[in-house]
Formats: sequence, structure tokens, C-alpha cells
Amino acid sequence: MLSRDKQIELMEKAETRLASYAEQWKRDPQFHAALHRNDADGDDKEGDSQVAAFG
Amino acid sequence: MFICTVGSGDVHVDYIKREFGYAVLVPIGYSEDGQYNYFVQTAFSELPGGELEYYFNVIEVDGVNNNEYFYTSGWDTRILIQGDDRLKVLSAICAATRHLIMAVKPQQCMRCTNDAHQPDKALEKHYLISKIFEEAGYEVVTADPFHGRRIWWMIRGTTESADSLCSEADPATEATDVEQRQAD
Repeated sequence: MLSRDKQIELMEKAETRLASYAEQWKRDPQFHAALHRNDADGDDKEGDSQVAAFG
Repeated sequence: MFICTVGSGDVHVDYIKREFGYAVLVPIGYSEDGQYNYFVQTAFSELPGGELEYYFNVIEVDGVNNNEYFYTSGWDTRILIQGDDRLKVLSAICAATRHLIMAVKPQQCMRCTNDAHQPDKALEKHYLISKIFEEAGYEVVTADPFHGRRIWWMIRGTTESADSLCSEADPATEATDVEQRQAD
């Protein structure tokens, strides 16, 4: 069972964790490449990304 | 000015798997001047201890300066994305969430609201997310809010496992909320 203290800790620190996750993703070359693929001078995507039809 | 592209045809999504987490990226629009592209990110990241946390962001990608800004708060995106476009972007978040769940299929995960004391209207997106997890075969349980912040767990499997995770959960309340909101 998850204690109330643990629940509160998770809720209290949610904002900090999200900022930390964002920084982690920003530092990832594959993630960066996916975001910038369509830039005029964007990077080529590589690695284990998958592209799927989504309509 | 934000130009929304959601619903204007098929789009492609990226599913990115890293050692620290999983992400789905969906393009949702661009700025009128062409400098920025916008994406929805739905993701799981690993908490200490190994449990996954679900979250979503809007990301502003600056193609000129080669950097990114993460909108993690609904208060911020309210300025950027307005009117009917908000519903379109929400539909992209929902679709990206389905894609992420199907790709990762976590046994269990949790999520929290980032903003405190969100009005009912702002919470609707969280009820929608709960509904998506439920449709994917997850039980969604919650606990009492803390200073206006909320928390949910999504558990694939039995009621017993959900009960053991969170003794203060009241899944019936949220299920009723979702049904009520959809009926309205």
C-alpha cells in the first residue's frame, strides 16, 4: 500500500519532476532530431524511432 | 499566432524509446511567421524505484535558434492555443496517449496534475485521459487531493492490485464524473 506521505510527496514534487523530464528529453539527440526534422536545416532522424500513420 | 494543423489530414507520429522513458510526438501546428513548430508530447518517464509516470506537454520548437520550450502548464498554453484549437489539440493528446499506451503497455503507471486548484473545465482533460486508460484495459484509481493537486494510478489487471496500491482510492467517483461529463 502506498502511504499518504508518499502520495503527498509525489503530488508536491510533480512540477519539479516534469521540468526534470523535459530537460532529460531535451538532451536526447534522437528526440531533438525528431522535433527538428522539418526545420530547413533539420537533423536526420536515426535510432529506434518509429513512424506510424496517425489519422 | 498559432496555426493549428490537427485534423487537416493524416500526420506522422514519432515513438521514441529511451532508457529513461518513452515518448510519442505528434505535430499540431506552426507559428504564422514560420519560426516555430508545435508538437504534443505524451510520455512515460521512470520514477526512482522504476514505476512509470505518465504526462503530456506542448512543445514549441524554434527552428531558427534550434531549441525547444516545453509548455507543462495549461495556464501557459491558454495564451498560445485558443478557442476551437484547444479541442483539436486535446484530441491530439488523446490520440497520442492511446498510441503511447499501446506501444508501451505498462503494467502500472501514475500521473499527477502539474497545476494546483484547477477549475472543473481544466480537469476535464484529465478525466478524458482516465477514460482512455480505462478503454485500454486499465483500472484508474485516485487518492484525496493535496493542496489542489491530484494523483491517479492506472493499473492493468485486477481490482485487488488497485486496492493494494491505494487504500484511499475511490474509482467510482471518477467513473461517475466521466460519465456525467460525457452526458452533459
